[in-house]
Amino acid sequence: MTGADCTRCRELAPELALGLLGGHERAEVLAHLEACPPCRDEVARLAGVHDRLRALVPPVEPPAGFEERVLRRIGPVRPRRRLPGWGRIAAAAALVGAAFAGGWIAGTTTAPAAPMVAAPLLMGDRHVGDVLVSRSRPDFLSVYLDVTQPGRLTCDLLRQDGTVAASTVYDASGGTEWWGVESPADAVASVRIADAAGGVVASGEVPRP
Amino acid sequence: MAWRARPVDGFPDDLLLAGLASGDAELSVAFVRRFQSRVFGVAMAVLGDPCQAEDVAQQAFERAWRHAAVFDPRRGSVTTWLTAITHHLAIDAVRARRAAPVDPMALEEVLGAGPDGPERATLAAESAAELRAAIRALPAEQARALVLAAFRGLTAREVAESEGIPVGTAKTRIRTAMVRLAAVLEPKRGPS
Ligand SMILES: [Zn+2]
Repeated sequence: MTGADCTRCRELAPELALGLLGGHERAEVLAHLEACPPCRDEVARLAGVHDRLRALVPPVEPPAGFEERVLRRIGPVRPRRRLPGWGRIAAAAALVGAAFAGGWIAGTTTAPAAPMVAAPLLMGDRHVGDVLVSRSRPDFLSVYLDVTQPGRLTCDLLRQDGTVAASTVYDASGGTEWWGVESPADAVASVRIADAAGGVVASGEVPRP
Repeated sequence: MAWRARPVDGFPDDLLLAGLASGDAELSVAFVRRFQSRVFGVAMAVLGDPCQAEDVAQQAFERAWRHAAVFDPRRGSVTTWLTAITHHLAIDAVRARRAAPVDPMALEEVLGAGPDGPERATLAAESAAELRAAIRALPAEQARALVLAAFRGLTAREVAESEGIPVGTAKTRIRTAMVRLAAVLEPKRGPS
């Protein structure tokens, strides 16, 4: 890297950040960025401006039928199964599985780039649901649970030491249900769900993004 | 903190994207619905033509579906990623067709006037308002150069031709404008 390279790079950085650079110039700048952290920071800074500028563009409703045309274009999509109980858990698990297969959801020990982490909810050794946490919203737990008996459920969010950080009730109608729950992310280590009689119907760790 | 049932509409963006990638109908529909007006808006800002904008917007969703696995939330939101894909495709399309002189933009038309949508609440709306104010505070010729480059997809050379100025001047205007905006945005960055 030489001073002249940096000067040239700074000159082209705005157009690179705006996605306007092509061909030889683009290759030239990218090669320089490989070797030059300060120029990389500069491009990242300007690219950040471009990200923010795009967010200012007013949304425009597309023409009628847009949604159907997009969905047709990306091929057949499966209707989500509406089977009671395990059928729907399977659907949720299929989603998680497909996401795993695509590198999308990491078990807590794998690919750090995956946007979601998942952990099973268990009753004994039966897999009765999943807790998903998005890296971009670590305070938001998505819970899939196979509810065998309709009724009032109590969900405790537990700290590391087993004390209850928060407790709420939910009236479940049965089948596999999905809930979102906002949690104080750092305080909560696990989830425990009990039925109206106080029997634990599911428990599991909260996955750590 | 509340423990409450939510419809699919409450799903986080990246869960909807995972649903799109896995072919889940309900989540795919929700994904397209959530993002279509922003994707189409970005395509329209660059192309200005509804037919071409629709084509680009559809390509953008197709690309999101194919490449969902490379989305990395540490590098930004789903919106940022998806609008970047859209912008990139729109620039390609505009390169292919650029013949007519570019309409020297109406700043207001590109930037919009008010809050951008119900979901862009609080902090985001505040900083968007600040960014708009910062753009309006730029010298007029810098704002024009920036909008032509950032929203209409003109290179510095094309901005120079369109404005009747030397290429070096066009580059300086674009760069100065972006650096000023970066300076406005930076104090807003949280520690990371
Ligand atoms: Zn350099």
